[in-house]
Amino acid sequence: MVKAALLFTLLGAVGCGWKSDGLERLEAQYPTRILVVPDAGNHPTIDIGTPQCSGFDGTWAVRLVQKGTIAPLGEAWGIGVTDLFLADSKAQSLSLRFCDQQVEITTSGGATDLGRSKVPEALQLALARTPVTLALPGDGTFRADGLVWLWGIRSASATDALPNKDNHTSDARMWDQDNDGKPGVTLKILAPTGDRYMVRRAVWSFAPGNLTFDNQWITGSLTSAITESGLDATNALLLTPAPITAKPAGTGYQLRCVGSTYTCASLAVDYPRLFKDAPR
Amino acid sequence: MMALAAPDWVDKISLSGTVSSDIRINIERYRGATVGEGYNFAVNRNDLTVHSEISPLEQVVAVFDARLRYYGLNEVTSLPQLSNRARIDPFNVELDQAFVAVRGIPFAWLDLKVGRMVQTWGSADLFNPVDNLNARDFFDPMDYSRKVPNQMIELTVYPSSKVTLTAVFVPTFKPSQLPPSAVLGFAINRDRQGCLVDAPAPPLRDKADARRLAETFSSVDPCSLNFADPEVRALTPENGIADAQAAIRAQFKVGGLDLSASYYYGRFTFPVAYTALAQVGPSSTALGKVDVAYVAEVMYPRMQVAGLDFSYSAPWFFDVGIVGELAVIFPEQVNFGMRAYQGSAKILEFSSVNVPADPFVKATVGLDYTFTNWLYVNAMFVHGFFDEFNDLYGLHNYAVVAAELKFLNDNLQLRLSGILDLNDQSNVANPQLTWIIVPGLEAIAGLFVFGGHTTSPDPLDYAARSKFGQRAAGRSQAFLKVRFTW
Repeated sequence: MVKAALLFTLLGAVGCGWKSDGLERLEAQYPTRILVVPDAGNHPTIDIGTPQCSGFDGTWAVRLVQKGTIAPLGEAWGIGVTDLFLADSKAQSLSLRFCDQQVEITTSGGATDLGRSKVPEALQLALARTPVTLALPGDGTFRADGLVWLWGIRSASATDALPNKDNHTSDARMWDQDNDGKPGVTLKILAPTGDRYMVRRAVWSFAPGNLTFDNQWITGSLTSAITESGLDATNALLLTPAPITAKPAGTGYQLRCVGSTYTCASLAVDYPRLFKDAPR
Repeated sequence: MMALAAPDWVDKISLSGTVSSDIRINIERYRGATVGEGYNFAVNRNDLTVHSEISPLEQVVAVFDARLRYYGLNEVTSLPQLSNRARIDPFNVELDQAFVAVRGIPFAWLDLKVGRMVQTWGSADLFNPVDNLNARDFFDPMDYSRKVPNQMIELTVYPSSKVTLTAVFVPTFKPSQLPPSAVLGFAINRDRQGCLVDAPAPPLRDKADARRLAETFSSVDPCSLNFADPEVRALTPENGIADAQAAIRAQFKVGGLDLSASYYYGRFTFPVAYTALAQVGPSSTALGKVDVAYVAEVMYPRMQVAGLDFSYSAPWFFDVGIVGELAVIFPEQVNFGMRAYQGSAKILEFSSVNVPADPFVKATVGLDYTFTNWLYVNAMFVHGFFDEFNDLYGLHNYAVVAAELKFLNDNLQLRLSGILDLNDQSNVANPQLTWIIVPGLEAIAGLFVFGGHTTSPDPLDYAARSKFGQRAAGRSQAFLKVRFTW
């Protein structure tokens, strides 16, 4: 009996350590991409809290990518406007709370700061105080048509004329939204450096989106029409008209489910990595 | 006139074989690949087997076993194939054994056998957990006895009249041959409109993982899913020395007891679930639909087997024959891995221990008894079927019973046999009637019927499917065989 026990123990020891791991094999065949984004700050990991989305309900980090062209100097330049929101969704309605806007301008010579804007903190807070409501149709699809987002003006339809530098003082719709004593909102321009006082309207149509099986992503195409009207500026050059001609290619929306503790400040830093794995 | 003498070499050759015909018809309509398909001919085979032994010297014998099989069912699907006889009348040639055995050279106590052969170790009837050298041939679900031959080197030593030591080396691995119905184990179930009903459950030990997987797909309209039948890839071992197999056995005779102890090093010859990958994306062919591509991999885990078997005829108990086999298996741990992707985004990932590293036991205990010259009964209890490896499906217990009744001077034989899975009550019944028309010529008619649920009572539970009820086990059939042995 002792000999048999010793034999079985020996056999067990000899066999010990044999292992085939299916997940390791899958990782070897389909390596998980390691994301390295140098301009994402010194945040080695993204903590999005505990996502708890069910259908469209939940907390979502929203990225609207809008591509277009401008021609302030006659030559067409590419412009990309990325609007970042945190959205709380319940009962077929999303309340989009503004977090940040990133603008990139590309000329034939490459990326440029000429005409690039940056949303100052006062404007960010002011826009966040008036969330945009995205009402869903209630038929199980994620889509919306003609959503209007206004800066510095209380009301305007998708086609109304906006106040301009000549008539804004008498336009009752005008609103010092960021409460800095300047008309409309104040947007910082990186080059030439200065402040631009303006009103702005974005009209969005969200094409029917795809909700992933794991309920973590909603993505789809976006139609965007951005209209800006400069009212005044610290530098007259900043009032050069540069209407944005929208480009459908590359324009879209992405929603990623995040925990209720996720913040705008984190989104503004994390967004390149946060949306990198969004389904196409 | 002088009588012609046969050449000397004729005495050194023995030749035998069989010619047989086997016709089977499916007798149900719910166990096939398509529900409603049935009452059709499933088998229409003709076999010619030849067994030859050539012994130029007393100590040397060369054995040759071959089979020519004509399948009898045409496989033509296109016009060019109509010019191909092999498609109209498919056949194959199998070499079951081709080896040379040398006895007593260079030592009287040493035998050597080299070549292609089939080994049978163990004492029980068919269900031998200590018999692992050859893979099983389950192409014909009615025949559990066939094996896949393999090239081996066998050394047998006779240290005494009561002890025999055998060592076998098998250079390359061969997997077991599965029945054609085995693919149904991975088949997707659809309703008449082609909408997804359910898919085979992967081996996820944590029920929460299984529920999460189910919820991922259940949130989508099943009619919008283009869920193709999975592609299943078999990962067979490389042909390296490390993948060779070996076994040793010591046989003892102690009075009326035949006892063997054995050890096997090699691999399990039935496939074990290893990985699964699902790729989900908008359909490129059907607007509004979602394509789901599913690729699964199965592998053959390593194992060591320590075995004991005995056979004993009890003179003190009516000469009842008692057999027993016990195999302690030390397996390779197999972790099942699964991922689902939507585009390039990974949406699900699971890992689950499918085969634990813990040793486990497979065993057979049996009795047989000849009550009268016309009644013989064999009964066995089996723990762990051929294809069970203590994975998430587990090891089931089986009762195997066979009774043979002979009539009309043994010219008519009724055999009633069956297997009952004691865990899920699924079963196989195999009654057959044999008529020995003349010596060497017999006709056999019978049924092979599967019993049990064809669908799993719990689609989320890998272990819930019925052993013999699932469609992968095969079709219920009626058969007629005629065999001539010479």
